Parts: sequence; structure tokens; C-alpha cells
Amino acid sequence: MPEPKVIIISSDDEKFPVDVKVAEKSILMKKMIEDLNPDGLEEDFEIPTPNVRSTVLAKVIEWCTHHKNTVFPDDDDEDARKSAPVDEWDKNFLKVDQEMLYEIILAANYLNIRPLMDSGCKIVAEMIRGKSPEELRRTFNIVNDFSPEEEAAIRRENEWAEDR
Amino acid sequence: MKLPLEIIIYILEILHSWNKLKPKFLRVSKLFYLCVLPMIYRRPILKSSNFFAFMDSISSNKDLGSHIKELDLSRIVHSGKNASVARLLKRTSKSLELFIAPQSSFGFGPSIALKNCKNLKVLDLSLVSETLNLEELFKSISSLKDLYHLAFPRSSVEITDFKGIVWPLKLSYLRLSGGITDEFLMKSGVPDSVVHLEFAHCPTISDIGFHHLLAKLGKNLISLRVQYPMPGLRSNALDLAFFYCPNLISLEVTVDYISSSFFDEQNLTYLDYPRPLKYLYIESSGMLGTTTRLDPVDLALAISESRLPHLKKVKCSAKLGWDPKSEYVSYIVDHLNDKDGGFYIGY
Repeated sequence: MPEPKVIIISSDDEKFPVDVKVAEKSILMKKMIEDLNPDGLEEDFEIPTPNVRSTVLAKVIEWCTHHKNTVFPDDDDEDARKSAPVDEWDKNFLKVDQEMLYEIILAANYLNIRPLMDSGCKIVAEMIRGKSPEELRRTFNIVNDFSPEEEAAIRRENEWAEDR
Repeated sequence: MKLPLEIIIYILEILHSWNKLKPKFLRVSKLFYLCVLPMIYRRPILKSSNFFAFMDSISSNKDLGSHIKELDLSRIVHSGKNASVARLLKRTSKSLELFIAPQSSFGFGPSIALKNCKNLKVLDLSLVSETLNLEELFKSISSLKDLYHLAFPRSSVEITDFKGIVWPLKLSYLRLSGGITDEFLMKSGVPDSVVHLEFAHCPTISDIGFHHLLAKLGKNLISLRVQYPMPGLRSNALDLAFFYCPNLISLEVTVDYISSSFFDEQNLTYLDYPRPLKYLYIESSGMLGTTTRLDPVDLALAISESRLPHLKKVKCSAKLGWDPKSEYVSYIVDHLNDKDGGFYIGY
């Protein structure tokens, strides 16, 4: 008999059957599988993800499948996690448009897939590091609520930190 | 499409950890300002070139100081003034957890101002070259209940009223330097909580005070570091380090204060348990007579006799004259490599 699968269902009702090992890359799904199947999976198990579109879910599953055997470092050392460079495969995998990148980050956040969320956030960090405040507003869809005088005062006050 | 605030903050923290969070991020919006300001001020990177501008900002906007947790003024050499350092300590007193004093411009005023930094955990005065009054310093730091790391200034006025000394309760790291005397080591009641002990630039300490302190604290110590110059110590003063401090995990000695019998069995004895020492650093001033003092055969023997069963890493100065190709050094190298450690020669 074939191994029972986890069926992940996207917000637009597309079904993605995956191995338990792949689904368990998401801590949220891992907990659900464990809590609702204390004796292990005996038959296919459906998990709806009402926040994630099928195109995004397909990408997330592709990442989970690629990394199903990857052992990620301990979750506790947040400083080390932030400063670690992005995995080369992840870098290529995340060469997508900004909309898709944001959706992958949001899905990783919702499904609790910390290493994918880290990679996505680092790509965004890399993307914004050289941008001007105006470009940053566009990137994050933020309205400028400073007056020109306030902006100039902030620039003056924090000039000491410019040359680092 | 918008990212939620918590994710934007996380992205900004990533940039901060790369040292790429520039002040321009403050000007994006009011919300960004509130998120980024504490990050930029948490651990300001200060140099002579930006110190005055930083002081101006801190002086004109009182709220900024309350975000500062770590203040490292080690790179401010001649641009600081006593009054500005004191003002900086005052402005940051509520939040400051780590303070590294500058080489100059740390005198009476700043040492008094330390008293109000109630959350201070690390106080490093090791660069301070101005003469500090230790009695005043103790008055300032005795009430700092979280202070666990204290490095004394290089130059300090001797202290005579030992009864008045109150040590911070949680002190675990102590670096002694400057005008510390044997009497101080014997009478000041250095607390048992100290597990990391360092000596450097103590011109008046002799074997008497040094051994007295090691006899008192040695069993608790997990790291001991004695740096050159300690002109009052005799050329074998550190031979008893293994005897007094059986629980060390890390030991740094200078070959100037050890004799050829440093690794002999009478000094490096067997214990009832495996000696925990993992890291051994042997430095040298290179002065006359130091190049032939320590023979690697003694360390090789101590290793082969399992008197240093946990030893993993040895770093020694090239001035020791140890030839990496010689039989005994090769033995040490092989042994340490087998332990996933290593043998390093520093130049």
C-alpha cells in the first residue's frame, strides 16, 4: 500500500499531495499532523491553507521538496540566523517578481517555515539596502507622513550615523 | 501588496545585523522612524570623525539617549572631553548596559556619572590612561546590581580604605590593572563570584599578593589570563597556576613568569578528576632568556601522561622558539588534531 499523503489545499481549492516529510518543513503543518494523528498517518490527510494561492503554494512546496533533507541550524540563535548568507539555491529560487516574493514570505510566515521566511526577508533586505527613502516608500507601499521640514530635521539629527 | 509591520521590522533588523541600516530609513515614514530609531541608537558606532555630531544630537534631543544600550568609546582618542563623556553617561543612564571608556577624557566626572547607570552589566575601563581614584570608582559601582564584567583602568590612585570597598554582587569577570597593590589583593575581599580573572599592567603586584588571591579564588576560576608586563612578579610566579586553579578551562600565561618546570608533575599534578583545561595560550615578551625557557618536551610529556586530558587548543608565541617540525611539537600537533583542536603559532 502506498504511503499516505498530506493533501495541501490552496485558497483557490487546488490540491497538492505531498510526502509527510515535505509537509513537515512547515512547523504549522507538522504540529497539525502530530496533534490530529497521534499514532502516525494512516490515510491521506487534508490541510487547507485559506491564505495561500495555488501559484504561491506550488512555489512553497517546491522549496519544501528541495529542502526535505536539509538540516537547518538551531532556531534559537537569532543573530546568527540574521547574519548568515542566503543559500545559493534559495537565491535562484527566489528570483521572482516582488509581488510573488512578498506572497512567498507571507506564506512562509503563516505556515511557519522559518528558513524560507529568512531567505525571502534577506532577498528583500538586499533589494532595499541601496534605495532612497522615496524608493523605499514605493517598495513597501507607504505614504510619506513627514513634512519637508521634519524630514530635514531627522536628516540633520542622525547625520553622525551616515558614514558607517 | 503590503508586508505586515512585524515582517518589515524583521527585514530592517537583518539590515542592521549587516551594518547596512542607514539613517535614511528613518525618513521613510513616522512608523519607520519609530522602528528604526532604537536600532540605530542601540549600539552606535562612534569614531573621532562622528563623535561631535553624535554628542550634538544626544544633547539637543534628550530622548535619543534612552535608546542606547551599548557605548563603545574605544576609538575616541583625543576628541572627547570629560564633561561630554559625563553628559553622555547621564543621558544614557537609564538604558546603558555596556560601556567601554575612551583612552583619554575619562576622569572624575564620568566616574561619578557611572553611579546612575543602574542597568550597567559590562564596564571596561582598561584603556583609560587618566589617573582614576579607585575609592571614588568603588563608590560609583558598588550599587550596580547587574554589573558582572569589570575591567580596571591602566592607571589608578592606590586605595587605602579597604573596609569601605563594596564589590558589585554579580561580578564574574574581573580584569585587574593599574595601581593595584598586594595589600589590595589581600584585603579588598575580591568576591568568590569571580570566575574569569585577568591581570595586566600591574606594576606593584608581587608574588605575595598574586598567590594570595589565587589561593583564595583559584578553585572557582574557569579562566585566568596574566599579560606582560607585570614587573613585580618573579620569573616563576605562574608555576603555581595549575596548583591553585585546578578547574581552569582557559589559561593564558606569559613565559616571562613561568619556569622550565611549569609542566612538571609537581606543578601540573594529577587531580581526582580529569583536569578540564581546554585552551592554553603561551605568550612571550621576547626578552632575554625567554626563548629557551620552555621546552615543548615538557608539554608533550604532560599530554602523554594524561595530565591535560581535555586539552584541545594550544596557541603560543613564535618567540618561544618552538620548531613546528621538531619531534615533540609534532607529537603535540597530532594529539590536538586528533581532539578536533589545534596547535597555533602566533607571530
